[in-house]
Amino acid sequence: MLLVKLAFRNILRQRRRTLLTLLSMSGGYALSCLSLSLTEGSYKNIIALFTTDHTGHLQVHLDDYLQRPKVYKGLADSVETRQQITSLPRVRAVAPRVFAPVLAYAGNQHTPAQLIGVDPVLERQATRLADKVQQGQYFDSEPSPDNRQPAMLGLRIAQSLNITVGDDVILISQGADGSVANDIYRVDALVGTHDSWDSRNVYLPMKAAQEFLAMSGRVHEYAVMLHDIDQVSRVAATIEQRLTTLTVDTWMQVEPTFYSSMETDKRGNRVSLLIILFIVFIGVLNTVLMSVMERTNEFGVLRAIGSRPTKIFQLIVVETLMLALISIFIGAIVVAPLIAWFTLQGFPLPDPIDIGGIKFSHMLGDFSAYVFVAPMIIILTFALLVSIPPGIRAARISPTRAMSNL
Amino acid sequence: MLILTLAIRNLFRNTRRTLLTILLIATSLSALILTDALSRGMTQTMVENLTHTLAGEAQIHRRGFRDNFSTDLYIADVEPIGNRLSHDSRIAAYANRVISGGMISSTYNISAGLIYGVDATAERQVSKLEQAVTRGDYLSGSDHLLISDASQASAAEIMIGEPLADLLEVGLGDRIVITLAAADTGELAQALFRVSGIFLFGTREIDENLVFINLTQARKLLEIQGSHEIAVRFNEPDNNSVTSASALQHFNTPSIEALGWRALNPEIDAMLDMTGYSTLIVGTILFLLASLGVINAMFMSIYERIYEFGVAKAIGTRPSQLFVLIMTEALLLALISCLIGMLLAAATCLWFAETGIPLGDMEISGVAMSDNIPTVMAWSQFTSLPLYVLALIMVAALYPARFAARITPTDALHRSL
Repeated sequence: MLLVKLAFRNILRQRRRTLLTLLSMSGGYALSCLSLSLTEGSYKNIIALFTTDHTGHLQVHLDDYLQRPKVYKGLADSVETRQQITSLPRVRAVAPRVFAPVLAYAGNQHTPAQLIGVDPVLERQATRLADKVQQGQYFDSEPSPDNRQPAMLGLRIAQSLNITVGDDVILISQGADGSVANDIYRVDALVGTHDSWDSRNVYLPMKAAQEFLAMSGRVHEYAVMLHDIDQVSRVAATIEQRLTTLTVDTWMQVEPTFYSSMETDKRGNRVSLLIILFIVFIGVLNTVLMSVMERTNEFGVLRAIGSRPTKIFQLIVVETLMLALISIFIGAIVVAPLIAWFTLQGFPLPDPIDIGGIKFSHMLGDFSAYVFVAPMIIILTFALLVSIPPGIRAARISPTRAMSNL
Repeated sequence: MLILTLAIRNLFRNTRRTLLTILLIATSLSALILTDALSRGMTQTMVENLTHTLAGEAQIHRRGFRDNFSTDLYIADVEPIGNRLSHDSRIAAYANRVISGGMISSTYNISAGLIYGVDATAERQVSKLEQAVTRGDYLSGSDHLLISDASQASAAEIMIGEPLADLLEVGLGDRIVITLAAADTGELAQALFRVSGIFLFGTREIDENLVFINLTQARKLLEIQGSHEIAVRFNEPDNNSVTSASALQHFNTPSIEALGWRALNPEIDAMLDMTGYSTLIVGTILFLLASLGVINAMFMSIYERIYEFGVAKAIGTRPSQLFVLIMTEALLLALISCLIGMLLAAATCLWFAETGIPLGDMEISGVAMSDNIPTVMAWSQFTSLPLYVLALIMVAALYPARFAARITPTDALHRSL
């Protein structure tokens, strides 16, 4: 306790110096928190967006369907299989899908498109598809098989074909059995925007899509939504254990280019923060060294009256750590409201950036323990390292030589 | 002169402190230069990847074609445009392209994609298509008759990307059927091709979605004479789309648009505009923190000498002289630091200019950047950046210098005795 008291008094002896050092350290800390918060928050936001938009938190396929999608690689869909997944407490929803590349026709216009068959009810529970309907109506129930089946079009498809809600669209593709698939559908709704992920998609109700592709009872994918995205790896492992014949991929594997771009970006950020903190701590080293030199006489006296070198060393370390802690405290007080504002408000980028195939349009903060604690640990480590050379210097002061200057 | 000698002596009275301060400023400067060099390197890599891969530095289209790639919007009369392009000394090469969406099917699988009809000879000078071939051959440009009947043996050449070949489960020599609709009429047309080459650009969008066939065959399939796109390459690298603007402006008509790569890629355009700001932000932060360190160090040196200053004042030194002395010390400190910082930065930049900085895999706006990013040096890094630093240090020194000038002899002598 005496040590802490002494250290505190020493810090306060040179107020201007202490203040300047505090300013640079707390500046470095606040900056690190803010930068971490912005990258973490923005990426979290974008991940939440695209996972709830279409990918889901994790996906279940047959074999290597994710890497090499083939129409015939369908998994046998059954309520029991889905039950195996939904019964897990961490799982929020499961949505089955089928996919196929198709050519869409209307009049003499044609365009390539991606067909997605979705279960109207389950898809609404899992993703935001129903909310993205711009015009017309989301297909709420499986329609009766006699009438013309409904379809929902992405905006670009509708524009290319020059059709809108109520018009007919013809789809052509290849069925799972190799046969030619073609049928006519009624456009019930337009989905998304001109630039959104779904702009080149055609959505069909699951039954209609399975019939079209000659794959009754089979689907290509289960998209699984969890309550908490951080649990994704653990849940993936559990599902893999339960459904041994199927392959489970997390969103990181579903969007590998985005994931690696994100990791690269985060790594770059960490490196530049470390460099900035390194520069801050050259200044701190300077201050601590100076304060030791100034007090050479005192340390000499302390040694002469019997202080142990380790005690003096400890004193210097405690002084520096105390400075660092006060800086962190000040920095946190300054930066917390800022981070809170960024977390609640955020700001849109003037132009959205496409990172690994995912549109990035909004910067958001993240208010979590991580963004405050990680820089704190780094600063304390740096402070500890920086206090060691001056500490050793102070501990080694020889009483006779130090006091000869008096 | 006296002041200079005094300043030098003062600086080296506490060599350790001076060295640490120099280290502080020098590292900041070299970090700033390195940031700038890296962001230039990234920009350059990105622009090169963008303009040299496939797109070219400028493109000419029918207005509206870029919105939906509608096959009907082709430039019917390409000859006069071609003539004018080839007469412009700024333009190195241009290539006609026919582009259409279509279904690409093999015996095993089917995929939707974009079919590019390209002129094999002209394409060599405009894009990296030939260099991207990993297996098989580049298009020969030969005018094999199209075989619409799939049972016939001989077939036309097609190049497809590695991931697409993987998806379709085809290799060299395997058959591929392309289904598309003719322009204007919308008549369905099918044609048989044999995989003659497999390419890998490293850009996902191209590798997964594009196939290349000979221009004449594409025109026949779509029943058109013109082109959808004319890609242009300039003699001098068009780093800011400046040449595009001036050289191609006269091609713009109500129905035809000629655009440089920056206008074609608004996302990248916006990002390049922002890179300047990022260096500015990094610089500001670095030097706010660094100047705190400098102010601190100078105050320490003033405090140590407060007795001296008191004596100097007492024997008649004017405050302005003390002010100038401290400023001279700061100037010297800054000069030495900038020099060391520049040397440090030059060494690092030269090293990384060769090997590149391994950032890891990244893809921004569809441009893949998986290679090491080389640092790019520029004069401004060694002229204006150090000058900014110098100015900043001088501004930081104003505070301690003013303090020194205002020392009252009685106080100073009293305090230190």
